[in-house]
Amino acid sequence: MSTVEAPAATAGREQSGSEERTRILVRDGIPGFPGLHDWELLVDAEIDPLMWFAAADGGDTRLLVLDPRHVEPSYAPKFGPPALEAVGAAPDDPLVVLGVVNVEPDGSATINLRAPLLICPRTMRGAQVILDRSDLSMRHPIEVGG
Amino acid sequence: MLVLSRKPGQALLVGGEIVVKVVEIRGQQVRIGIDAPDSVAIVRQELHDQVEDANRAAASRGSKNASRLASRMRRDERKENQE
Repeated sequence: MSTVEAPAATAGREQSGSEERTRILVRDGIPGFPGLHDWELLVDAEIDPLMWFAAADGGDTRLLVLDPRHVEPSYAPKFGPPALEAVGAAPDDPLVVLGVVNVEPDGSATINLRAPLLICPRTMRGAQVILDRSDLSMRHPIEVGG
Repeated sequence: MLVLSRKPGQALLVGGEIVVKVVEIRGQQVRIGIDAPDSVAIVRQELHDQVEDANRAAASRGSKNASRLASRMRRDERKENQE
């Protein structure tokens, strides 16, 4: 299975211990947290393959994210011009796609495949894109052993 | 909120480049046509609200559950690789 690479640009990238932080600007905000535009992608070996997407300017707001291909290997949604424009991407730019994970208190977990987080590593900009795909669930189960 | 009355076939211009047109009224449903620049995302409000709810729920979970889920995923992946 392929794994996601954290945005490769070196600007805005910091490493401390097992954790690597990459600054991501979210111009349009994240639904539920509209005032927060400055975010960080935290790659931490302790929670690999999961990562944190954390507000850099909003206290302790953070979302657990995962490359959706860990759950659905064929996941490859198409992003239209508004999404590419939101992250400042050219049509040929490689993009990082992540899904927001929700872990229930009982340990079960779901991933939002309907509204992925799109990141353009070249511009270091991100957006949560709501796809026009009613076949994709916002609470797609993550099947894991006990 | 600005409230205007429009008849089928009539339109509104928003911000100089977005046209919202009443295409048809059928019972309790209004069909709306929107002409907007490519860069403008158009999303049903209720869908946006659902994403807000899902994000807020996800943000309220602690890191303890994250570590547990991650180790279970790594264990599964190791099993898959061994098979």
